[in-house]
Amino acid sequence: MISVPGVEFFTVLVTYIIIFLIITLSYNLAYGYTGIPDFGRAMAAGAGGFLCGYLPGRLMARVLGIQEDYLENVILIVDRINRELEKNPALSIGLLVLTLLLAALAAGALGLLASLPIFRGIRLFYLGVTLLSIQISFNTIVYHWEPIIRGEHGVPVPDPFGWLPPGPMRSIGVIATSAIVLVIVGYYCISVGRSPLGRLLKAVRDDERSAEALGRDVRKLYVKVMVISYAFSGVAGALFAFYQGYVIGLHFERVTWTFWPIAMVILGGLASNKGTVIGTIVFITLKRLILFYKADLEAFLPFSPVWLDGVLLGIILILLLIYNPRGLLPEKPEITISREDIERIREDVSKVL
Amino acid sequence: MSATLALAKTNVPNFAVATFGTIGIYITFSCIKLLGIGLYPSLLFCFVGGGLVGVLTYIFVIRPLRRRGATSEEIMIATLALDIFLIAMLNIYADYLTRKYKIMARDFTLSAYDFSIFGLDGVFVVSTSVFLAVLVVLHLIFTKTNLGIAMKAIGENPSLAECDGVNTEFLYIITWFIVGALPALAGAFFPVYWMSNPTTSMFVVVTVFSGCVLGGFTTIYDAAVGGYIVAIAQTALVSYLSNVVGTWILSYGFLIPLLIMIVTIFVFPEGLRSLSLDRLLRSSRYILTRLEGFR
Amino acid sequence: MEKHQDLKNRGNNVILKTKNLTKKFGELIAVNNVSVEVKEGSFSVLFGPNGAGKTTWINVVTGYLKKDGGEVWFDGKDITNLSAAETYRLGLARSFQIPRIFPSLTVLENILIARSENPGESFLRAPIKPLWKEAEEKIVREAFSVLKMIGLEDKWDMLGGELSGGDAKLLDVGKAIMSGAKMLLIDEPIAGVNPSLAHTILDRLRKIKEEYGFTILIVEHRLDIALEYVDYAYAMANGRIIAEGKPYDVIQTPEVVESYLGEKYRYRLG
Ligand SMILES: Nc1ncnc2c1ncn2[C@@H]1O[C@H](COP(=O)(O)OP(=O)(O)OP(=O)(O)O)[C@@H](O)[C@H]1O
Ligand SMILES: [Mg+2]
Repeated sequence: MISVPGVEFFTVLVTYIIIFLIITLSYNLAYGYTGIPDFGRAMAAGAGGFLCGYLPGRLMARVLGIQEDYLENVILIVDRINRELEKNPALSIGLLVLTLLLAALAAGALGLLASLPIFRGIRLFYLGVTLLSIQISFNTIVYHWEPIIRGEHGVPVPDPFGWLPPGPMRSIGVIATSAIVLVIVGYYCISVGRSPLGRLLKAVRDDERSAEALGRDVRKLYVKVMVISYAFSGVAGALFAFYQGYVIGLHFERVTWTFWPIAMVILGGLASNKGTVIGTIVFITLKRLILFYKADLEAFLPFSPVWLDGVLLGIILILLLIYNPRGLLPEKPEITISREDIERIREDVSKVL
Repeated sequence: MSATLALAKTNVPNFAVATFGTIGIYITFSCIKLLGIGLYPSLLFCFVGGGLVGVLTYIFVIRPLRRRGATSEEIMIATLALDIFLIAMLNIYADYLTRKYKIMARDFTLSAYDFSIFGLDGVFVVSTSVFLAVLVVLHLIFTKTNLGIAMKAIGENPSLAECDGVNTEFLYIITWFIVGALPALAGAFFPVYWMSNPTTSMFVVVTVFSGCVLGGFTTIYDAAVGGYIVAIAQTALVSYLSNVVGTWILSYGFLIPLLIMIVTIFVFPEGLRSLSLDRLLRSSRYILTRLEGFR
Repeated sequence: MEKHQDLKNRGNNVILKTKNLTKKFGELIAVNNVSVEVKEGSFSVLFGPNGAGKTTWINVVTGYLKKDGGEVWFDGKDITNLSAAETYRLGLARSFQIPRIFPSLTVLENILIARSENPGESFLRAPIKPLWKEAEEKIVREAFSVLKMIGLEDKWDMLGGELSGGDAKLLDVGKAIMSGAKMLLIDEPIAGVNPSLAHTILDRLRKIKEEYGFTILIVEHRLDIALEYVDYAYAMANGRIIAEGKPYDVIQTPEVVESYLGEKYRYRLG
């Protein structure tokens, strides 16, 4: 018997789609528009996500005057915190908003640090390699260094949605929060794409030296893009951690958080926000379906279906790069002011001269 | 080990090299466990098997991308994707071995299959001599034979080489055979000393990267020198530190290549090449080759 | 007193000056002790055989290459050690021997981007359109008058990457005009362009110069076409300026005839 996805499947799916849209849209800003080959994106999400494991719990323990060693008794302490949060929606929301802001800050700071080599005039290609290496190192440190989030054991994350009635209401709470973030990030990315700034970013991507010749400080521009885009991705990581209620050192690895997003952006179309949305929806749905039918697949396959993820990603990315590098909805010129306005101005000018 | 991995680089930055090494690990493993062949005879299988994987990579990934005129970033993404794919396939293979043959196909070592001569570990003797042999042969190929000179030519300027009537297609295939075969050969020695599993290569990746950055991605020699420096620094420093401060430091060994890389970037943003100290490179290569043999 | 001087020198002011400018590539001295003065409002040509060092001179003047010696003055300021972006902002714009057009931007956008002070390029203001819409419309207006001048207004929404070679050169010139520069250094505006388009381009440059009061210096090989448009000429060979003056005088000097024009040209002149 093949099982049919139910309501729960769809709420999970929607949550994942929203969280990953935040990642892919901000990624598209960096890679699609500006041409920064960022192969370390996972650490942006990681900065936000791991921060969720590190900070809100300790903060609340302070507030509640809990004296015991935090990491040693983390399960019990977080349990106590959660009971407190359940009673106090205002505190919960405050904690949620504060943590998301700090996640943005932390990830933005990491973006700044990771892109400092740009000021040394490193070529973008090397930057990609460097970012990937820093990301691997970042994750490995979190994994090995217990004082942060107990490495491979992980820690529970306080639940700022506990005051909502359990069951669907909590999912709706998570979805609503993520959707608010997505609207902000989506609005930013899309409107930047249609602004003079978007035009400048594309110009820099097309020809860095020429843009410099036109009086622009290209390096500063790269760093700013990295900081903003990392900050957005950091919030997505934090949302994911809150949603899961637990973070471990293995989370935010590069397959899920760097290379799948790259595949999503390429499938949709680099520097095309619409395309990115489509790419994200398609691939997240595919991934969730595989996971959903995991048990059914298990019976057929002589191996664990978890590896299908990597096999699929590898094949899909390579095929996309070979056969469809510009994506389903290839980049189009985006004009800053409406065509009518442009035509009107053009008429005016031809009359005057 | 990683030195050879880096040595096998062509002008395409291939980030799946480390995983080619893991393929070598599993070929050896299968030869020993399934076919009952000894550790050293299975080296031959590694060489051929790894070479085949290299050629397949060229035919199915690199060549179509080149023909399309892909950028180097795109080729890099493709090799990283290939890496993910290969790691997943190795995991699948390990699962399969475990289920079908009921053997532990993860976290194994093969030290039991080694022999010893004159009190030295066999693997030490064999790996050192294989390395030296490979180095000598490669050096001879690159400098003495027409084939090797042509190979270098396409590495440095493909279109020019084509103009000179070099059959680039054939040469690319040979090059990629070597690109696949050498890491696999190196990988074969790995499980004799260290615990191996399908994700072993994940941690070697940073070393390979930093070798590339140091070498400046330009020629085989630069990458080789870069790879040597990084690999030796890593091994030496980590084992030294683990004596001094304790074994926990071993988990952070990967930070050394990262550090080297960052220092390189900040001191010579264009890689060692920017120093244009070719002489220094040549002499350091010579010294390092000796050191490598020594180890 | 100073004012009086100014009045006397109007139209006679030196806008760009290099003093003993030198650039070496290893052994090769590509630019060798070059001292030139370019008058404000002039339209001049710098010519010389391949490898004379013309492009290198432009690169050094505009801060694309580091100098090995000498000084550069522009508009009364010492710009010897300024970066490319800084010289551009001071009003010294250049074009490249091979036109540098942004392929994925439209022709209009290519012009628009030449204007560097745009409030819509701030990361904070960009998402809020009312903050930059007015400024943008103003720039679009100016862009269209530039497009009209270079004759590309009908192609405003074509992609830069789809333009023909001649149009790309024009667009490159348009970008330089749009930058609001005081002076344009244009590297080979008519190389590889058919003669009639070449005349059109130079004619337009001349008009643009007169209308806007620019100073223009072009680097050019094709003297047969270029000379009738310019009012001053510099001849360069082996990294040195070997002659300068009125265009038709310069090409008659023995040094120039010897080193550059050679037999063929003398024959044609005769
Ligand atoms: N980056 C460089 N490195 C080394 N040598 C260079 C470099 N750029 C130019 N040269 C050399 O400097 C000399 C002057 O070159 P330049 O490009 O300035 O000549 P040009 O007068 O512009 O010639 P053309 O008419 O061919 O454009 C040439 O011999 C050239 O080979
Ligand atoms: Mg030139």
